[in-house]
Amino acid sequence: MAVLLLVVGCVWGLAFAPADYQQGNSFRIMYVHVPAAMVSQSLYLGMGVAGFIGLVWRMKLADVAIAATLPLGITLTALALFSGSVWGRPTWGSWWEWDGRTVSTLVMLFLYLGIYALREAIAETNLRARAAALVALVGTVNIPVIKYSVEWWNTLHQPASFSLTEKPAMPAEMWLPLLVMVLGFYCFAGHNVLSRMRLEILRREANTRWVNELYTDSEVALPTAKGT
Amino acid sequence: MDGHGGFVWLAYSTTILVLMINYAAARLAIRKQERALRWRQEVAALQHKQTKQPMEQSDT
Repeated sequence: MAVLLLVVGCVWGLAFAPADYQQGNSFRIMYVHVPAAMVSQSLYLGMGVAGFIGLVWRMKLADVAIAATLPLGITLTALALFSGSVWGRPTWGSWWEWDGRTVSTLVMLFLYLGIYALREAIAETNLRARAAALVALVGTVNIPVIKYSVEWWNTLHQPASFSLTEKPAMPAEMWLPLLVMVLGFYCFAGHNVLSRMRLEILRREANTRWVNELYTDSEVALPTAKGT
Repeated sequence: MDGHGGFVWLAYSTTILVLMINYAAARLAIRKQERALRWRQEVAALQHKQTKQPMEQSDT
């Protein structure tokens, strides 16, 4: 489903969407930049929710979710910054500007990397889970800063392409392929995070009976950890 | 593309590469873990068979 949506969105955005009257064909970068940025922010918000659940209810699955979300979150945030930079060169005349939105997105990338480094540095499972959850939760304060930065500060960055409360400013033949790409990115992110959660669970539960029974053909099961 | 083709293709090709790498990395890691789990089970089954056989021989 994700592949179909992404292929349709890319082809539609590259070949069939009309060029922008101000930016020309460079606006087509929007069809990869906006979905990457939206999904990276949603993933961080998801991590913040998982962090809250992990801290309050001490659910192990919350830490599994954080661990699974990190790689994709880091790569999509970096991709959003890179594609934004590539779009900025022909549009603003420079590869980087210390704009409100670009800086707050860079801060989000640093938060992602910080959580990853923290998890790698702490060996003890429970302490690692709590530290990562705390940083993820505190960092969610940055998400509304990213969203409202174009309104709060006099920025170069253009306003949101989509809004839940208003009609899009673009014609349908421009925002429809964007919607398809956004849906494709979300489907891809959902699949990737769930795959990595499965991997994380298999790693953590490798010594348990239920995992051994899944991967054995013989009648003999390995001795398992106590209580499992 | 009004001279902006290089920028557009750079952004799209990087995106496709990043998505493919993410997909492949997750799949390969899962396969590696499943292979390791199956191998452990096979080794355990073989060891169990070997410890049982000497005991059965000594009974006869």
